[in-house]
Amino acid sequence: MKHQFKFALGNLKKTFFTSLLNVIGLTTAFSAFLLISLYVWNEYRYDGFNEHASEIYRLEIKSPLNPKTSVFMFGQTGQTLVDEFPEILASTIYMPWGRWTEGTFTWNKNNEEVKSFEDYAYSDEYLTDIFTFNVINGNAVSPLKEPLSAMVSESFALKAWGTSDVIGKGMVSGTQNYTVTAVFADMEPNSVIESPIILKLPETGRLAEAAKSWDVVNYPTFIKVKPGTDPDYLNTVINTQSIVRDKLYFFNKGNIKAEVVARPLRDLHFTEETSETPIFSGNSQKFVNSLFWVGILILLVALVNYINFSTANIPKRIKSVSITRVLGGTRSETLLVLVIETLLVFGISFILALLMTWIINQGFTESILGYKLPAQPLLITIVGGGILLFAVIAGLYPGFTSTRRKPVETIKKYDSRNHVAFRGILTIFQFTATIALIALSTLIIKQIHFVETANLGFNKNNTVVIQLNQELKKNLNSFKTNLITNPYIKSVAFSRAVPGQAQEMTTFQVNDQQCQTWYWAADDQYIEMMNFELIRGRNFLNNSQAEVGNMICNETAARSYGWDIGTKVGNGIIVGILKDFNFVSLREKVEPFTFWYSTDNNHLNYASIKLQGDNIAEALNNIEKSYNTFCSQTPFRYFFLDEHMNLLYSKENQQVKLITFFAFLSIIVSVLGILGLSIFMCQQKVKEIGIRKVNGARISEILTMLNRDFIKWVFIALILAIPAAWFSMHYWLKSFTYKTEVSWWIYALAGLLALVIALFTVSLQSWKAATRNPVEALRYE
Amino acid sequence: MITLNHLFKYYDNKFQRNYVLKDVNLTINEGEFVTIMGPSGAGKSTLLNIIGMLDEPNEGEYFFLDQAAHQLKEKKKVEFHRNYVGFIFQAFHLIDEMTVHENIETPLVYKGIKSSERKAMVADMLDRFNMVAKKDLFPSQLSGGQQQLVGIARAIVGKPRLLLADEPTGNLHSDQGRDIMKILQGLNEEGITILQVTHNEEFAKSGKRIIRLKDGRVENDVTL
Repeated sequence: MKHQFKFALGNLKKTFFTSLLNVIGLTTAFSAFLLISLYVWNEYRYDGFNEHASEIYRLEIKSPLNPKTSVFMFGQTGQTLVDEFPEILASTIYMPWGRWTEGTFTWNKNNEEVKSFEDYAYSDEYLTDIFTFNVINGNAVSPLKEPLSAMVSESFALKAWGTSDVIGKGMVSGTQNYTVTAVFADMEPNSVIESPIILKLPETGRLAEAAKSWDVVNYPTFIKVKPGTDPDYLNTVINTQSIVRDKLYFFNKGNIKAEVVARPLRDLHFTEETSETPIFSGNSQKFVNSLFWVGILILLVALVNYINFSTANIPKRIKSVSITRVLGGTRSETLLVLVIETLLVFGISFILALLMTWIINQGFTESILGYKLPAQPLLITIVGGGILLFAVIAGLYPGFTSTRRKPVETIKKYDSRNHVAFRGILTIFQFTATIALIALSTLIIKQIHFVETANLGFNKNNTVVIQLNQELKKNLNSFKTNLITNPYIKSVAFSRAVPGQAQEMTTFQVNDQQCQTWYWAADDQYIEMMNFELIRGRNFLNNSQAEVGNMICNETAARSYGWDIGTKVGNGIIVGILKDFNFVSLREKVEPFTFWYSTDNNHLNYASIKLQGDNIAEALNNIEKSYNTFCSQTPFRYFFLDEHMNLLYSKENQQVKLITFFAFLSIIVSVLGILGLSIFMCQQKVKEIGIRKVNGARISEILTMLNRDFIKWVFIALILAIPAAWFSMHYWLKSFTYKTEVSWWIYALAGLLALVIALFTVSLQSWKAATRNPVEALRYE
Repeated sequence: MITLNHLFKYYDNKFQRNYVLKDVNLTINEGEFVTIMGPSGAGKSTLLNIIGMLDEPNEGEYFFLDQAAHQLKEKKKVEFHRNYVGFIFQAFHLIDEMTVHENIETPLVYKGIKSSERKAMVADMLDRFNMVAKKDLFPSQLSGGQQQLVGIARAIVGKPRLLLADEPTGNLHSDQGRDIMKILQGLNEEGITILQVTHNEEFAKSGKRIIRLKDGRVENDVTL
């Protein structure tokens, strides 16, 4: 064994350059595959760490008025179901409002008051009965039992107070003074519960009153059922036996009744049946699956390289193998040497890959995903085991081919022609994969560009948005006047919400028809200022009390509900109709939308400020000054509307980064592959090149001869890649209602890029070979 | 046809200059059959390579058909290889992946001759060397003597005026060697100038003139 080991090491040293290429390629591919596996594992194991994961469900409303379900339930839903069904053990409301807009929090650190914007959620005492928290300090059982109690994550505690021992500390949110009753270890990154601060739902006030009624749908609700309860059965009994369904009559459409959907916790992350909302993040399962296949592809390409290299080595190898066998080595001994050799290469590469994965995960992953992927020892062991198993097979394959024949025959000659064809096929496969990946990344970039620059039906540029707080609302008109005197500001308008926020729907009863529509209050300036295009009727009248409650709807609302100028809806009439516009992502279809005129500051939550001129820094400075004049308590916060809307595509931006990164890795692996191949080819053809030169071939003719095969392979690969890329591009685009074109130039670009890369790599070698003096090559050995 | 004036070829080592050819002066006329002999390391092959323009002298002049060959550009050299010279090697140097027919055809392809014409020319060669039946075989399927026949056929198919043969019989047994020599003599009678390197005294006498090299110098030059 020791002897064989020495032999294997010696062989690796002899083929140092190839071994190096192999190690680099395999390390790159293993790292890519490990990272992708960790990512996919993380996505598929979403919420899986919960002890009762398989018994937890989220409740949703499925209304015939809407193609997708809504997570906002009546406050009473959960408790009612618990009372009605013995299978349903507990329910909790979990409202991560901080995902929408962070709240202002005030606390004392070392006797100094700290004010900050924080992500937070409201919930109740049953939260900890349903979800698994690792409470490291304080009350592990029902920490949210008492009014005004709060639980915080360890990292928040450390940030706020510099210690995790913070039980009893107070913090002010809005006007309420909360007390910390528990500190929990930070949640896994793949958890539906994300907020670092969880506050007890208020027991008095507007939110509490609304929670007791059957009027307001506002409360995301989770339930826990008895182990072994069948999900289909659960959904059936809830919809046939509970009174909850009747309470949903709001959402009925004629005779078609709305339903309650109990969606298993483990399905939440990937579901596409629920309306998008920023409070619960999701991911596209298609994308995650596609990425996994990309990982497999990169791995295959690297393994193909390895096989390619080892078959290219077979002629050399056979000679030495045969000589050792002539000298008395047995076949199994020679095979053992080969297996040890591949195991060494694969083992070293895998260890390096672990290191590289760790490094990438420290910085790069966090910059893309916002968190580090947790290490999964089990997963890493499985991947590592699979790789080593492959190594044994990959070692045996050239081993068998080189020891199959009688040694005497193989010493004499070995026909390498079949292997050229075999390697050609493998190279075509690599290029197909690379071209398809390049094409796919290009398309994703193109689609993101398309959605970010698409004409949405209003003008999102040069708009600064400020969320209005109580202080500002008190002095809204003076604030506006103050802003407008500013030379950098063109105009100011107020509205309930701003584009990018899927917020606030309501249902009207018009002519016996349930009409569900997005419903935003706006002042008399907003529509004009944002350039919404009026196609019929008029804008809201300026400063008219008689106008309050009147509405301007979009074309879709007018068309689906038969509304027109003068139609009475709710307490007002329709005065204008807007051309359809996209106020959320272009994944969504345009839905009925209504602006209603309000002068009541309580209805208006956002100020939109249009800037003029180029001096944005100065403009912001001035806005902050005005803000501070009217609101000294809360720090100044703003966002640009266009940037805010681009956040709608943060998932796609993440995807494009991931795909491009892995496409890049796959290019590296492929380049290493053809680099190795071209080195072998040039070595093999040294003599032939010399002969041809002596017979009158020019350098250019030699180059053509050497590069021809690779060009041919790239072209075949391009032809194969086109349908593969076409299919995956359309698959990816499916989730968008508004799509960019899959243009022909995407294929051309990907093909050209692959060709340039291939030619460049091969030419590095073939130029050297073609310009060599033939005398050296033809010297008699 | 060939004039060499004060030709030097050397390699610089760290400490000293190793001369391979020292002050070689030589004139070879069209139609000659010259044999170059000498012990190993005497510079025979180097001289042949310089004449064949595969190598360059460090000093001295080389005129080929009154052209200054030592000043020729790469492109012109390719023209020279295509039109004036054919090579025969000790190790045959056939392309293993090509059939006999394709091997012979190679120089014609580079000369830019049309396919139909090429076929006819290759067929002539096959005919001449009685190898018509073997035209689709690969070099590895032929005996050494047959391989060298293919090598000769390839060298002369382009109708060169000069044939350079570097130990053409070195890898063959004596009967095969004699056959090859007869063929070379026949070619010479047809008017091709031949320059061969050999160790074999018997085969050396096939030529009309023997030049003996020793330590890079011409030791003697005898016309038979």
